Amino acid sequence: MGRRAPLGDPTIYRVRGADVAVRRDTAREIEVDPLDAVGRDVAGSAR
Amino acid sequence: MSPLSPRPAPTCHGDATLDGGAGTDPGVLQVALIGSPNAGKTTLFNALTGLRAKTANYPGITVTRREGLLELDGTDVRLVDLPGTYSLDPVSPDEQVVADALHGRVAGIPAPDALAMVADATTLERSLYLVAEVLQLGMPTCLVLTMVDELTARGGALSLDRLGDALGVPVIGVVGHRGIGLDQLRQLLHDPLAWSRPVLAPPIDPVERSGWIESVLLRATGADHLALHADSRTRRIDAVLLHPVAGSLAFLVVMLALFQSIFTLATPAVDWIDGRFASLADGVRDLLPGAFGDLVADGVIAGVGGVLVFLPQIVLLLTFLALLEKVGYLARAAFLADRVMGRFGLEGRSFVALLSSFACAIPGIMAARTIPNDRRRLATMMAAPLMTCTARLPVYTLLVSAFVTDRAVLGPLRSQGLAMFGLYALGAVSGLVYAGLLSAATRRHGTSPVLLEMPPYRWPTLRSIALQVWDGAWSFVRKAGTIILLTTIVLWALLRFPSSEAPDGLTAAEAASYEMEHSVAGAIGQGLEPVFDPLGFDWRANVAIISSFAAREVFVSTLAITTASDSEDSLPDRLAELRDDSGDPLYDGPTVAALLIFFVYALQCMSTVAVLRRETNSWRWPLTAVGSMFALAYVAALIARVIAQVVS
Repeated sequence: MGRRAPLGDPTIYRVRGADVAVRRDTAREIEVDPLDAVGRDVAGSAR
Repeated sequence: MSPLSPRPAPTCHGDATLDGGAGTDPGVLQVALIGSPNAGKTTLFNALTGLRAKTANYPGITVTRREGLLELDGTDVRLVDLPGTYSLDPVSPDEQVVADALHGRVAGIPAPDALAMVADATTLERSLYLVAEVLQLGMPTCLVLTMVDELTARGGALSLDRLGDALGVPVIGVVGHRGIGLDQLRQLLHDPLAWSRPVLAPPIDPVERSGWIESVLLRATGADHLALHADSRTRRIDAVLLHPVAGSLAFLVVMLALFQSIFTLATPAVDWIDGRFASLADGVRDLLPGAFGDLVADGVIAGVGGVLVFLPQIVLLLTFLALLEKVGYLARAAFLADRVMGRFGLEGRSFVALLSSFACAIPGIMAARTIPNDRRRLATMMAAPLMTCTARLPVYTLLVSAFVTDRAVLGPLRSQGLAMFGLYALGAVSGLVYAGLLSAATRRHGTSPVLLEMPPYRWPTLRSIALQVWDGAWSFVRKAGTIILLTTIVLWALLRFPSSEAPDGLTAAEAASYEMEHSVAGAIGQGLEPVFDPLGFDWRANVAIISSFAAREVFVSTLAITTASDSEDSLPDRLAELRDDSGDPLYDGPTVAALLIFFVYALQCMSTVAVLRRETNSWRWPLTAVGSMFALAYVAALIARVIAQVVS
């Protein structure tokens, strides 16, 4: 997770080399899956 | 697809006519540029097509379509700049348009014959997901990698030949704004049907696709990811511009500079244009006496002047916005303002558009072009006319100074200043609430998430900014200008005809009032008296309101004529003198309060209506705005009058 806007929302996330700001309610809907199956170094899934 | 308009019906290829002026010729190969936002697609398009590009909207929706003809050694190729998309599985109206356009599902527009996939070389790993989806379509495709200079500068190494071998399609590296690689690209575009194609399409399964991307990267770079140095310049600048305190201050300074540039920097040019057209009109009136001279002077010349007078503001705003966008700051400004605007169903970029609207709603509405989501773009455009533009100032100044007693309220705060501030605040709050209601009403048509990609900071080229400014300014003159010119002539005719001779013995001011009273506009004003009587407006105010469709500030000069005032300066005294049949003041405090509130809400500005028509590609939304804001103005003015009557 990166920078948060001064009023607390949205937040900038780094996604595959790009900085993308997403609102909290949108971020809640994003599911992050581990990609261990193809050898990615990902700690686990999170919602 | 846009939640606000019906999905265009599928159509056969070849019968192409593009809504808004641009078109396609049967027999000319069409190559579409496809890529994610910030990939440099539009810079590349501008570099290839320059001023030959045409801009229009996709039929029935507000998504912009740009296309230009490339003449390549005797072969014509039509280049189409599709909206930016992250995926062919659409989550926004713009992305839906891309998916529909690729499959030929947009009415009157054939599917492209080939695709030029544009990807930022520094974020190739991410772009390969879209590349995989595009290759799945099985169309002739080439990959154009932009920012290859930046990739090298950040320590990246990439073999274009090996990348092409891995993908099975031609790959070219370009630096769009410097023209590097463009000749090679033109040669490639000469014969898209001869491009190599992949033997096997990339896998559809997400996990398998990730593996495919790694294998492509491994072949092209020797590693499964691009090992780039961090963009230290962007990080250093962001440390300041996105800092909670320093960033917020910088945001305020930038917005203030933008506002001031439209408000004050444009003024000399606006005054100059105004003055030249006034002189020209006077000259024509001297040269051509009578009704024809009046038509040319007050109809045609005033109409053309009424269009061109907006250009300084529009050019300044578009230049400012293009600069902010291309430098990379606009996304940061939107990020900082997003929370506040989000409460009203808008997004951060709406702030810039609404702020611009305090100078004039027209550049404000045009600034909404930077908002990618069409529901939020529409809500922003519809709210823009409620922001207090400069044209309302003369009206507010006249009515406030005439009927609000100037007295100290608290310290340096005085009653007239507070009244003016209240009118500004009322407009701003009402605009935001209006946008929120409109946004909520259209939410059932579906919504899309706010995704703001923060591009690296880059120096833009003068050419790329100039092309963007030219594109916006010319489309305003061409589309909105026609409507403004025609409406000016119609208004002139309403106020001028039928020509009636004033009785002897009247002063010049009384004669002018008499002539206007007996014009078509005068008749309409008198016919509207029963409608506006609850607000206290008589025919004089009604005619002035009708005339203010030309420009709000015209209300003051017309009211001076209809009330037979000797000059605009003596208008406040004249208004105070006027009595109705029973001897009561015609323009008492409650009536003036109603007039002020009416002007806060009513959309009686034909230029704004014309630009709304141009930007929404439909009469539905400008008419909705006129109708709803008139109803709002009427009800609010009535409430204000009743309250003022009770208080006084």
